[in-house]
Amino acid sequence: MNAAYNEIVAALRRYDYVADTDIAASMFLAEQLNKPILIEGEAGVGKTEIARVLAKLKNTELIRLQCYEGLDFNAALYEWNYQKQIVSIRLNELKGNTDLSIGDLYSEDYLLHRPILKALMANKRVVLLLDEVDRADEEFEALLLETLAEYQMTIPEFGTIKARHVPYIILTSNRTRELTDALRRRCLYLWISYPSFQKELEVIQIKVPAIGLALASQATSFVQALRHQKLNKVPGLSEAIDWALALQSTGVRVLERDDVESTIGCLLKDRQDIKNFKETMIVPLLEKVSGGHSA
Amino acid sequence: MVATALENLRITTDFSLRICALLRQSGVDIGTQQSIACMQAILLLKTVNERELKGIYRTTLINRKQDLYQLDRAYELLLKDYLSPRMAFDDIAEEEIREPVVIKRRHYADEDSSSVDGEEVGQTEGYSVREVDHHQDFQLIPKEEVPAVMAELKKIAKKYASIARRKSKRARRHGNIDLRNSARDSVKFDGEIVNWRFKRKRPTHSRFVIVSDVSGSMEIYSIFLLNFLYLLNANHRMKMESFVFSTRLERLTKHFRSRNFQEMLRNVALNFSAWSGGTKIGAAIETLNETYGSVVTPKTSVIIMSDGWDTGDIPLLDREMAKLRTRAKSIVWINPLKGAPAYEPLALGMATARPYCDQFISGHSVNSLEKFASLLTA
Repeated sequence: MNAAYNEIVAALRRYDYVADTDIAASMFLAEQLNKPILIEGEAGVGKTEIARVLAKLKNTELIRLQCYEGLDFNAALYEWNYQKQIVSIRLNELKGNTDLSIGDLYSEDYLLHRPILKALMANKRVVLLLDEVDRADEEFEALLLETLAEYQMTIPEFGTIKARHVPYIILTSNRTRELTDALRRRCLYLWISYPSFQKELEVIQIKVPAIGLALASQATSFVQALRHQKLNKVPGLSEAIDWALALQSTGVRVLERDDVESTIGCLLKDRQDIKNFKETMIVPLLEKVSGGHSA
Repeated sequence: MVATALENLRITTDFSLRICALLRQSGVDIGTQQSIACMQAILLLKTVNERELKGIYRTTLINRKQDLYQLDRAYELLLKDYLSPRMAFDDIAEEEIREPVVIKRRHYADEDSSSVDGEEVGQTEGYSVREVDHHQDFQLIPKEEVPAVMAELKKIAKKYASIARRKSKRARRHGNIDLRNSARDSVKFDGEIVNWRFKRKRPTHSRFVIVSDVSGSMEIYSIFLLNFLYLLNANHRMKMESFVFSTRLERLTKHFRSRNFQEMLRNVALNFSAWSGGTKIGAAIETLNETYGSVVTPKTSVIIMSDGWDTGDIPLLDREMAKLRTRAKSIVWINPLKGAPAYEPLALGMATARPYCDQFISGHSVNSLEKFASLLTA
């Protein structure tokens, strides 16, 4: 593997994040080419976590914007502080001041910084996380384009604000809606799938250090096998961690049917899934896990 | 191994440019910016092995998961050409052009030009669209009346499209104070705010997923249904995802946004090869549930247009409908055969799916489609 990649993987590992080549490659390229990363993947595979770890790694601030339907530029980019403007006008009137100009009212003092502007105006390279972009409306994506491509923002009354320090921008999407090509084109793309056995085992051991190797690998292969079943909601990596934590804290040594049934709420979040699981899946899955282990 | 040493950089960049061209031909959307980023990345890393090179392509060239497969395919194809001995570059270029362009389907307009002509109905002289019988079965409509019926459908679609738009008006007397507009309004009173302006969040529109049967048994109806869907799609606020199926399911939302109906038909025909085949509703719903699972949310109404004559696996249909039922807000089944006076849902597929549907309506005439549209915008 390339030395640059190795460095990133090792650095991320120090912050308890297990990365593979693709993740390292996109982080490396994003930094070198000054491009945002668009991360897609199933729920709970650690998309948001990347931004959090990156902020820790670069020892900088994480500015997070959670997207939702109806999010507009007043909440995401900037807004004028109307109250302050009105109060200044009144105060100047009372004092008989006449040297207050329109330009003064539309200056930086009266600008409220919303997350994206905040990231551009920051005094160091910050990490800007636009979480679940697919939840925002299509029109909102268009607002992002200028920032994503040029790292600047144009405010009609004020002018163009260029980023003082180009932020690391990370966008995540759960694919509830197809994002536009214009947005995709400006980003590096990273698809994160469910982790492999090795990676998942490593993550579980890192996140739940008290868990023994035997139980950790049993739990991991159980979750891995469970993902191949027909489920409405397939458990992600974060569910697997929760489950491992639950198993460990209830003092389980070896996976038994009762333990699995009592803690399955950590893994499966759907009534129908749990019903099916208890009726048909649990026995063959447990057999598979314990059989594979002894062999 | 493609390139391990520094002197091979030229080959690597050459290879990358070719892979860009090949991917573009297979329909992957790659902008110049993206290919530049790819080159920059290669120059940055200087020496790359095969895995890293693929990683670079994945991050810089590809921008959606579905295209990852195309990348692998193009890579294999090109690599084979590079590794095969004594192959001149010109030959490769020729091969590229021949390979990925596969026209799956005949030109639709050639077969059914009469209904396609429907777009130009405005030029039909001395014809009153009022005369269209709203209750006549599409099956019985004579060929020369098709344009008029299409025009009528257009009117109805337009009507409902505008209703949905009016619903999303923003400024009202309730909700939060809109300081910006209040400040702007105060200008006429010399900076005194006399009337507060208010704003309210837009009402969220439910999304629609339309699954339309274009199998042989539905052929007569599907042309009308497709046109109607196309017209409804013109209203972007309706957030509609469109699929067609016969033996398999294909997502065609993008093509429903084509400039005109004729172009849409051509695109659909090019991209959907199983036109007028048999019907496998169960398999189609399964694909919808699994491959396009994220499209269906608890806010989604799923609209299935089919006659329910299924040649596929009935238990599968039962299972998949049950699954869809738990995930969607509602399921509406449009069955053109329901318009027939003596119709009972006897087709096995229909009988299986019927209990899972919230609404079961006919789609055989202008009138019934109007009812359907009112259901959508309600």
